[in-house]
Amino acid sequence: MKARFLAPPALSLRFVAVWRRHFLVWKKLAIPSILGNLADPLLMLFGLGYGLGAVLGNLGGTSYFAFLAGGFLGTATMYAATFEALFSAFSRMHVQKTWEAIVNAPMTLKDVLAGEWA
Amino acid sequence: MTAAPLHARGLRKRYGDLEVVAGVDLEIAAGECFGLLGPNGVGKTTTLKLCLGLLEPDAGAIRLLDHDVPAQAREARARVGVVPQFDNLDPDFSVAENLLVYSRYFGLPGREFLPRLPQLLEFAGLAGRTGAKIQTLSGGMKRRLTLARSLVNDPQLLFMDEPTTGLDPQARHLIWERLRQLTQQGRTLVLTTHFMEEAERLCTRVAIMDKDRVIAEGSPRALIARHIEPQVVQVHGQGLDAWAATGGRLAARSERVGETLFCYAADPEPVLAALRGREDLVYLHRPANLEDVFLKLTGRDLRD
Repeated sequence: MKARFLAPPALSLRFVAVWRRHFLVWKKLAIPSILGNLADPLLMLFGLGYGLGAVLGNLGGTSYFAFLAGGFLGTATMYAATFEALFSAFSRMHVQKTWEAIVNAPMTLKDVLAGEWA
Repeated sequence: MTAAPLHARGLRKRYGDLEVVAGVDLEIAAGECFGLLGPNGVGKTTTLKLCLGLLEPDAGAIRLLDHDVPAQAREARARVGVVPQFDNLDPDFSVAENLLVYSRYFGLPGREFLPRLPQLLEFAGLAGRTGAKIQTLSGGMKRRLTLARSLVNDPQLLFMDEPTTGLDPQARHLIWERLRQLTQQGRTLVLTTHFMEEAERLCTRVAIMDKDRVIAEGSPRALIARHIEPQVVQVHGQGLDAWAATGGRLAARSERVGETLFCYAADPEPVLAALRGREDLVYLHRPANLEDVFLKLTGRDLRD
C-alpha cells in the first residue's frame, strides 16, 4: 500500500480536456474577474495613497503614493492569482461537484488534478 | 460479446468501523433493466461506485464490460454512462456546452461529437434551449440534460442513481419513457430507486438491499408471488381499534402500521364482507405490489 502511495502518478494527456473546460469558463468570466481584481487594489491605493499620503508627505525622497503602488502591485497580483485558483478549485470540488462529474467519465482524479494544476 | 456486462462477486466496503457493503453479488445480463432497491443508507450508491471503480473494494471482484475494475476502470468507464444521484452539471456553461465539454472527457473529437449533439438535445427534450443557462432550467430539465450527458459516449451500460427523485409526476413519466427507449435500443440499465412503482414498471429484475447486503432478487412479479399474498385490503378510520382484533383475523396475515391495518390474503372476500356497511372505516382493496414486498422484507420502521 505504502509503495503505491509513493509511486509517481501515471499521467495521461486526458487532463487536457479538463484544462479546456477551465479555459472555456475563464473566457466567460475573465472580464468581470479582471475588473474586480483591478478595482479593489486601485480603490485602496487611491484612498490610502492620497488620504494618508497627504498627511505623511514625502518619505525618503519618494511620495507615499509611489511607495504604496509597488507594494499593492505585488500583493494584488499574488492575491488575485491564489484566490482565483484556490477558490474555483474548491468550488469545483465541493459546491459544484464538477470533479465528481469528471471522474464518472473515463478520467481519474490524477487527470482532474493535473488539469487544475496546468 | 456474450459475457455479462457487469459481474460482481463478494463486494465488501468499510468506512471506518461501519461496513456499508458486506458481500454483495450482482450479475447483470445484457439488455436488462436492473433495479437496486433499498432504504436510504444501505449501500446502494456505494455499490454503484464500487462497480464504476470510483471506490476501491476491501474485498471482492468486479468485471465491468470485460474489464477488471478498479484496475482497468478507465477503459471500462469509456463505454459506460452515469447519471449521478445529484445533478452536477456545469453552472458556468450553457446546455450545449455542458454536453460538448463532457464529450471531451471521453476523448471524443468535436467533429465526431457535434453531429450527434442535436439528437441528444432532442432526446432530452431540450432542442429549443441549446444556449440556455443551467440556472434557468427546471429540475426536470436538468435531470433530462444529465441523462443526455450520460449518453455522449453512446454507452452500452448505464448506471443511474435515483434518476427520478425529486421530480414531479409529469417529469417522472417522461424520464420513464426515455429509459424504456434506451432499453429498446439494446442498452443495459442499472438503476437505484425508492419508487417501487418505478421499479415495477421499468425493471426486468430487481434486487432488494437491506443492511449492507442483497436480501431478495428476481423479477418484480416473481418477488410479489414469492413473498406476499396476492390481495391487500388497507383499512383506516375511527373505528379501527375496535375492528382490528376481529377483522384482522379474517385475513391470512395482517399488519398494523400507525393508523392503518394491512390485511393480506389470497381471498379477501371475508375481510371485505366484514367491512361493508361500516361507516367509521375507510378501506381500499388492491392487488399486492412491490412496495408490500419491500416493506415486508425491510420492515416498516423508519430507517436511520
